[in-house]
Amino acid sequence: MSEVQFDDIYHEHKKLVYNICLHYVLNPEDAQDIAQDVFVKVYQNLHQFDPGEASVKTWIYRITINQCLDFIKARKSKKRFGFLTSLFHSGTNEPLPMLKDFNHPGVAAENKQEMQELFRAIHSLPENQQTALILTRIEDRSQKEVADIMNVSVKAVESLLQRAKQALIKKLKNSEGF
Amino acid sequence: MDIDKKLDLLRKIQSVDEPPFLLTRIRQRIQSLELSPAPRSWKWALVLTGAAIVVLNLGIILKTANTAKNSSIETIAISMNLSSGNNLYDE
Repeated sequence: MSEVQFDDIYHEHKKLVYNICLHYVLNPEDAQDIAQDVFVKVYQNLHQFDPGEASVKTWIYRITINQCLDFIKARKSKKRFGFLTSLFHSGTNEPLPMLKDFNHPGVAAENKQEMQELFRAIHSLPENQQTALILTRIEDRSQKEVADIMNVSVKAVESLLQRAKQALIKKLKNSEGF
Repeated sequence: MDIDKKLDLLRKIQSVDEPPFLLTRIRQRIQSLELSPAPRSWKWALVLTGAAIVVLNLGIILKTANTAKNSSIETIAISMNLSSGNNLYDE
């Protein structure tokens, strides 16, 4: 792939990729690391990209979301096994950063507390519900676009959003102590 | 609880610019990836050497297994002046 082609893709999608990463991992340091991984993957796999199957934007959305979910899974398993490693090496039990170190630069200071609580509930949802919510509510994508990105039907996206909302109501009520 | 109202809070999240030097870091990582792979001839040499070692080992194992099967009974029988067959001794 030519440098120019990659540069064009980078400049067109850099903000999108970085912001999606931020919505998933909620801190700029991890978001930057994941954004780097995403563009390295884009560079390595561009020759396999099939324009007939999806647009470049949809393809990049998919890579970014998968990379973020993999990162979160890795962090969670590290936390799970952290107990065991902490028995042998004190100080290696790193807390899950997403919510403890909530530092989303796009969130205004006055909304931080409320937003952190909302993200705590969103991050406890199943992955596909999380993704549907992030894409529709934060990224402002249409249900059709979300369906393309997630490779499911529009009906499935509607159903995911409905279930996500119901689960969020329960979780937020519980956290408020009802 | 009006969940839609609560979720509308998410629309207040501002889009953020990517950090400076992101492209430089990506380019560095791509370069390091491109430099690191071993030449194809090395990979083939490694595969062929591995295959040769496996074949040699298999050959040795098969050979020793056959000779051990044949020799163990016969050598003992011969050294003790015994018959190695199932026939009775001629008296």
